Amino acid sequence: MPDGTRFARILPYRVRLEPRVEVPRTFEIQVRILAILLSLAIMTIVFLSLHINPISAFKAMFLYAFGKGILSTLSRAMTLVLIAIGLSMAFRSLFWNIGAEGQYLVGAITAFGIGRLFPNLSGYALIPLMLLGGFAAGALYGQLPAILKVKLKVNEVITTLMLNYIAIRLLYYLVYGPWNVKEVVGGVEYTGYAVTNNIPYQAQLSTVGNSTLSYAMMGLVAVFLIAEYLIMERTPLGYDFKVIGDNPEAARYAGMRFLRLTMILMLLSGGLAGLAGAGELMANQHRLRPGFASGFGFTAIIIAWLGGTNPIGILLAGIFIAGIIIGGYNFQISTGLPVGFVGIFQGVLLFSVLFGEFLRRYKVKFERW
Amino acid sequence: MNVQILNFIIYQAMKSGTPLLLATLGEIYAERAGILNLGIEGMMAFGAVVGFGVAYTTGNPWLGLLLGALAGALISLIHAFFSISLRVNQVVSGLALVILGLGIHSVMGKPYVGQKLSNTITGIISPSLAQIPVVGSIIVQDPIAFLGLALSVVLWYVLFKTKYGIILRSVGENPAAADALGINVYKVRYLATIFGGLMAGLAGAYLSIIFRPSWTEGITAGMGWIAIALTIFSLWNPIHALWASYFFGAISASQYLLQGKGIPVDILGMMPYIFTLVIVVIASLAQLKKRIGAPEALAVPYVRGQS
Repeated sequence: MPDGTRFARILPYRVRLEPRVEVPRTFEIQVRILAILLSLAIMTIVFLSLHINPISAFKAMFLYAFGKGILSTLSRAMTLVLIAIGLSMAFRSLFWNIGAEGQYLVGAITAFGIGRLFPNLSGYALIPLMLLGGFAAGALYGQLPAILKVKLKVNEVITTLMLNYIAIRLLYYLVYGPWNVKEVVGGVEYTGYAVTNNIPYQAQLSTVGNSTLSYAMMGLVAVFLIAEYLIMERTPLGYDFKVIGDNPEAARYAGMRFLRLTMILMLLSGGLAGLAGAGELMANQHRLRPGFASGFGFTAIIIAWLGGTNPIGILLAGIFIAGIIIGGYNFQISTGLPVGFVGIFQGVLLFSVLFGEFLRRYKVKFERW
Repeated sequence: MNVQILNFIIYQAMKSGTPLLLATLGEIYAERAGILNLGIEGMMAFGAVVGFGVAYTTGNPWLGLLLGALAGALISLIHAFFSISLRVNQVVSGLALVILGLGIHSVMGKPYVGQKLSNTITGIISPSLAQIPVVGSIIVQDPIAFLGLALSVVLWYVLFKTKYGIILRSVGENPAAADALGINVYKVRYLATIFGGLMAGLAGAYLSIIFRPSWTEGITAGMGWIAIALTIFSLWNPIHALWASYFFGAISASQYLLQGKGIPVDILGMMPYIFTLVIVVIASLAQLKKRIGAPEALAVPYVRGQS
């Protein structure tokens, strides 16, 4: 491999990219912090172009997200981190699961269905049943893309995405159709609203104070963060996942069982997204509505990419991005700015992370022509 | 099937097939040069909002289309820079472009929510001629629909019958060999990616100016992703993209015919997506059988002096 490559001729200097052979751990962390700073710098320009004082904007966002709104931030982070754990494993093996949104939705739908079917079951039975149902639904929903990719080489980006849209339509159908709200409050029957009934009271997870941060979700996140570490670093399964990601050809040559591995991978990735959907339903929203998903599956992609397969990285990335969302909503309400700017922030952040990725892989050298 | 229904389907096939066709043609060229741009949905959304905004404020829909297309080209530059110059993962860069584009479209589109365009672009032929079986529903289409039709033939010709087409394909199949022959791989890839953005922007502006000349957020509704599926389905061939897009348009339109027949609207709404799943499976089977695949160097960054 030559030491570098010329890639631009516009500048008076020649830019050479030299691949880094070894990347120290501290540099990995520095690069990620740099990415976050870069995204803040770009957002400063965005705010200025929208005639908003960037300093007061960031202050309003982050003071709320990590101050008064910290419990909301952590609650949102738990749901997102749960999804991101599964995604990071899938991405590590170069399986592009873009379908977390759909897997999350079928998880929530299944959990809701179980609650609807057994409204009189005790909480001790109903809660585990609904969570398990959510996991199973997401895991199953992820199997079709896995099988199609390995057996027929069907592009998983397309299949997982289309399954998102199908799951969203299924949610609409249920919310407006058979599961539409029928509540009698004070002798008046309410129908026709774009929501379902609440899940049974005993299935609603207990939370810190009157926030939406539930103990059960914190527990699940802790368990699965550790589980991810153990799977990826301490088991042959994790080793196989990494080999597939680093060198698929070698993996094929070594006779790895792709179908089995990919199915397990999507069992975990889809299952965790489904579990997150069930958890979000039971801890926070308590009922289904058309906006139940609102892009969680896509936000989790950014978290997974920012955090890598490092459990602490994912947790921190999740809390940071949840902070942007919760702080952003708060800021948006006070300024009347469209919610879409949170999307811009997320897009900018993901590009900044990619830029960090570039700096991690290459040394940039400037030389005179 | 009576003539009216047939005409309706043909009309809708072409009308709703056109934005898909435009975006797919652009993606075919980008991918032929080896650049996988999953950002179509974001580029379309950006093109749609810029196009609508310009058409709304100036009252000139043609200017809207032009600037919408240029907006798509502009935002595609980000993906080009990241995937060609910085050599990052093209899947993730494309996703970032989608998130960014959708965010911008939501912020920029806020003042236009619920607004209608007073001037739009319609067919030159009088709509009364639409009654003529089959032919009628084609000739009354708007000029951009015909542009899409013409472009797929022209782009097919350029891709397979001219020197430029050979250059483009060689860059996507074997960039090192192309480089050795003196072709500037980076330049070709940049141009192809920008062309893809231009077409996606035009597709988006078509949606907001001609297809449904009023502003609603989320106007692209997954069409960008369907265009990526159609790129695969058409086996990277502009002529296949033509009939595939129209066929897809017909399938989407047929859900309106089934409405009010006892099938819930939202279940019918799944049809385009289920159909997309089916066509990517069919495309993969065809690829396995005929051994036609994606361009060899698709999504692989080119590093000079290394192959």
